[in-house]
Amino acid sequence: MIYSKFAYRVILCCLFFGTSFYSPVLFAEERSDDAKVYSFTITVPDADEGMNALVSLARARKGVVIFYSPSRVEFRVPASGAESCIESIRSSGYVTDESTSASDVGEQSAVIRSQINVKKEYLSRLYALTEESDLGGTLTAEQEIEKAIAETDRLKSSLRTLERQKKFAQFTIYLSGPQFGQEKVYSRWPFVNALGIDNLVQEN
Amino acid sequence: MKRLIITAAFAFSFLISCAGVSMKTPEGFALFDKEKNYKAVSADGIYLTGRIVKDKGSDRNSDLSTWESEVSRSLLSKGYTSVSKISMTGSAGDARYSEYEVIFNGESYAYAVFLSRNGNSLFIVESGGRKDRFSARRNDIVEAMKTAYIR
Repeated sequence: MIYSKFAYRVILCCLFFGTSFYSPVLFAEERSDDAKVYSFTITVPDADEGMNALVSLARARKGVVIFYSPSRVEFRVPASGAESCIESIRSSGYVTDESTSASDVGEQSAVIRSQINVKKEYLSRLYALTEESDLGGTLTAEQEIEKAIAETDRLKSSLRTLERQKKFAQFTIYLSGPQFGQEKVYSRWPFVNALGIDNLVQEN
Repeated sequence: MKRLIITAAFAFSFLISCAGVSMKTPEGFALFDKEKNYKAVSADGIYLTGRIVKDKGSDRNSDLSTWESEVSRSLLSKGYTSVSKISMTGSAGDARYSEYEVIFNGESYAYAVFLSRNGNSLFIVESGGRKDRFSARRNDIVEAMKTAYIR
């Protein structure tokens, strides 16, 4: 009886403290399979200088600038350099807003890998079938093989995209400051508004 | 006499509708000769186009520096960085060449604008492409722009 009471208390303690000890650990844990997206809004005294500094920062960290405008810049840097990049962004101006989001790429990758394996097994069965069946059966099997190969390629491509996301951290930085009262200057002459590399490339 | 005037009027309107920018096509560029406006593209993705932008309206006579400022103001507000501005003399007379840099599709691009006029008509020649490729062809492009005129 005494033993059962003791055991009961031990179980209760484990249940109570166990969850309270482990839950923060679980939630705070940084998974290496997470694709990170960081967003900052910073106020800078000089818009051009601030933007140039951010673009230089991305390039110095072997990053790729995805989008660039007077008030916003988006770039990707290798995940290993993300922390130092965050420090540099924080010191480049007054941070008014900051957020981080992470998506578990590992789980999605695992699902896609298992789907690829299933497709591979299916393909090997189809190949075996072509050797055993007659002409009509072989033709049907070959059509199925073609479909399965296309599907496997699509899955492999998705897997590569996820792997890339895991290797890079993405940053979106919004700049604000005294010079941002007016953004785009529209000309009263339409031909002037139509100038730019985007129109030049797209029209051709 | 009446018939002569009508024929002349038709011929004149036909000539106006056919007016366009022409220039020497730089080496390594393919010319789209069936287009109304001048268009040429190189194999490495450098574009060169020319067109008349003003041949009517009271503002067509504004001086080139005014147009250059207007173009520059608009491009800088879109995030372009000015690299150089040069006054030069082309086949058609005074001309302004300005070059910019911009990030496009995650890469550095160069973009150049050449402004000049034939009589009362203002015309523009644009060129652009990936910065490293454009730099290799810059001299040829500038030389070709200088030969631009309204045909």
